[in-house]
Amino acid sequence: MGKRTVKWTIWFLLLTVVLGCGSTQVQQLAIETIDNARVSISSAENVGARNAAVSEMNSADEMLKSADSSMQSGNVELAYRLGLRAYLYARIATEKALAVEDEARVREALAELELGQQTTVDVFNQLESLRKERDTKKE
Amino acid sequence: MRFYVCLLLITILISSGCAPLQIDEVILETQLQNGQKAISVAADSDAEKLAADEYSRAVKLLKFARQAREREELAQSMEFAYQAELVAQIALYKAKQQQAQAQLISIREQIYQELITQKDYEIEMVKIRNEMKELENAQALKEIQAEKQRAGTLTSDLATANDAIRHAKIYLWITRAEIYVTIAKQTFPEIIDTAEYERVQSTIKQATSQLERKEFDEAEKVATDAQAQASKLYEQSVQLRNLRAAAETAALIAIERARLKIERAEYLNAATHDPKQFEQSQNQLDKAKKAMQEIRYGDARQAAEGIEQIIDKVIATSEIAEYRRRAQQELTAKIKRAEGDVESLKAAIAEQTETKVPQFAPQLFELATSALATAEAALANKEYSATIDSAQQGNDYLKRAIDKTKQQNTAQASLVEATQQIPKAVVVELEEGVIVRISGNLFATTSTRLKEEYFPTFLKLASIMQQEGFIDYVARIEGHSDSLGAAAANRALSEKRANAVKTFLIDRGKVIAKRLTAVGLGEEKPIDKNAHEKNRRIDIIISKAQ
Repeated sequence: MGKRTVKWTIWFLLLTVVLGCGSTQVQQLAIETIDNARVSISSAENVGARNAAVSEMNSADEMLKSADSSMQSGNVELAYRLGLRAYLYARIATEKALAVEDEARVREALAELELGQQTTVDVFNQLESLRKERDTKKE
Repeated sequence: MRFYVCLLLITILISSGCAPLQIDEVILETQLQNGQKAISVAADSDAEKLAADEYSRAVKLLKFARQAREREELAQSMEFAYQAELVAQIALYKAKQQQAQAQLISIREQIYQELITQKDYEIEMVKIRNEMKELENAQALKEIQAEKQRAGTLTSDLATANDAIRHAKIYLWITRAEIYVTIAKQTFPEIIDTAEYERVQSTIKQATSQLERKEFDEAEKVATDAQAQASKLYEQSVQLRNLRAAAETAALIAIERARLKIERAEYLNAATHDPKQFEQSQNQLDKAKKAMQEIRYGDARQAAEGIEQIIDKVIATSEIAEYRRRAQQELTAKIKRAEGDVESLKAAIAEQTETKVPQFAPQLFELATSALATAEAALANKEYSATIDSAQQGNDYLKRAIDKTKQQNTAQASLVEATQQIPKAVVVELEEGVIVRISGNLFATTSTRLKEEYFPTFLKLASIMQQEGFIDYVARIEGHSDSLGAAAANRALSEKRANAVKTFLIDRGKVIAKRLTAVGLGEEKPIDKNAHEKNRRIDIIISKAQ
C-alpha cells in the first residue's frame, strides 16, 4: 500500500470524525481514533516496520491495547488519547521504516557506484594498455 | 497540512469537554523539553524544508502546549507536548527519507556518469582495436609481399640446385667410368693397347666436354655409355688377367714338377748312373726358368714338360742301379753289426760271470747265455738279422739280470742295517738275507715263557718286518738248546720256545702268521761246544719270500 493511499484513508476517517463532532459524541470519536490507529499499524506493517522500527511498533501496539482496554472500561477520553498516541507511533514507525528502506537503497546504490568506479578504472587501464600496444605497433 | 489542522481541532474540542487531569509540573516540564529536543533533532536533519508540514505542526503543538501551561491547563499542555514530540519524530524520519532519496538520485547520476565514462573508454578501445587491426593487416600485407619475393628467389635457387644435382650426377658417372678404367689398367696393364680402351677414353672425353658446356641431356647419355663401356673394359681386364695367371700357374707347376724329379734323380745319383741325360734335363730346366722370367709362360711350360719325359727315364735307370748299390751296402753293414753284437754280448757275459749276477739272477743270466749261443749259431748260418735279434735279446736279459742284482744288493744292505738296530741281537749276514741271533737265557730253565727283558728285542724285529721295504720277507724261527740233558727233551723244549717266539711276534708284533715258521733243532747246531749259554739261542733267518 502506498504512502499516498494511507494518507487519504486517514484523512477520510478524520473527516468522518469531524462530521461526527457536530453531535459532540466523544465516544464515537474515540472509536474512530482507535480504528485509525489500527489501520495505521496495519499500514506500518505493510512497509516492513516490524523489522525496521521495532520499538515504535511495540509502543503503538501497547497504546492500542491500552486504548481498547480503556474503551471497554468506559474511560472514553483516555481511550481517545491512547488511540491517538497509537496512531502517532504507527505513523512514526511507517516513516522510519520507509527511511530505513531508502537508506538501504542508498547503501546499495553506493556499492553499485563503487563497483562502477572500479570497473571504470579497469576499463581505463585496459584502454591504456591498448594505447601503448597501438603506439608500439605504430613504431 | 489539512490533516494536522483537523487533528488539532479535534484534540482541542475533546480537551475542552473533558475534566482536567492532575499533572505534575516536573513531568510536564520534562515532556515539554522532550518535545523541544525532538523538534531540534528534526531541524538538524533539515526537516524544516524537507518535511515542512510535520515540522510546522510539531512547532505549533509545542506552542499550544506552552500556551496551555500558561493558562495552567497542565493536562492539555502535557498532551500537546507529547504530540509535538511524536510529530517531530515523524518529521525527522520524513526528512531522512527525503535526504536518502536525494542522495539516491545523486548516486544514480554518478553511476550513470561512470557508465558513460566506461562506454566512452570502450568505444575508444574499439577504435584502437580497429586501428591495430588495420596496422596488423598492413603488416600482414607486407609479409605476404615479402613471402612472394622469397618464393621467387627460392624458385630461382631451386632451378640452380637442380642443375647442380644433374651436374653432380653426370660427373659421378664420368668419375665412376674413370675409376673402372683405372682399375682395369691396374688389373691388366696391357689393356691400354686394346681398341676398347681407346673407345672408352674417347667417350669419357666427350662426356666431360659436354658437361663443361652444360649440355646436360647429351652429357647424361654419353656419360651412361662411358660408364657401361668402362665396366665392360674392367671385366675384360679381369678375364685376361685370369687367363695369364692360369698360364703362369700351369708353367710354375710344370717347372716345379720337373725340378722335383731332377732332385729325385740327383738323390738317386743320376749324375753317376746316367750323366748325359741328367745334364740335359738340368739344361732344359734352366731354359724353362728363363722363359718364365721373360713371361713366356707357354714356352716355359713346354720346356718343363719336355724335361719330364727325359728325367723319368733317368730316374728309372738310377733307381735300379742305386737299389743294387744300397742293398750291397746294407748287407755289409748288417754282417758287421751282427758280428759286433755277438762279440759284444760274449764279452759282457764273460764280464758278469765272476760277479753276483749269476747268483742273484740265475734264470736271466742263463737266458742271456742261451741267447748268445743262438746268435752264434745264426751267424754261422749267415742269418744276420736273426743274429742281431738274438744278440739284442741276450743283451736285454743280461741287463735285467744286472738290474735285479743291484736291487737285491741294495735290499740286503738295508736289511742288515735295520736288523743291526735290534737290541741284544747279533746279525749274521747271509748271501740272501740275515740271521738275527739272540743268545743267552731268554727263558727260565725248562720254561717256554719269554722273559720280559727280551720283549723290546722281538718288538723291534717285528717292526722291521712290518716296514714297507721288507713286507715280502719271511722269517724262519729256529730254537736251539745246549747239550745238557737228553737230546729228545732238548729238541722238544727248543721247538716250544721257537713257537713261543712266533706267538709273541704274531700277538704283540702284529706280524701275520703265514710269514713265520718255527722249528726246534735242539742241540744239533751248536755255535761253540764249550759254551752252553751261547748255544741256548733263538736264530731268526729273514729272507725274501720265494
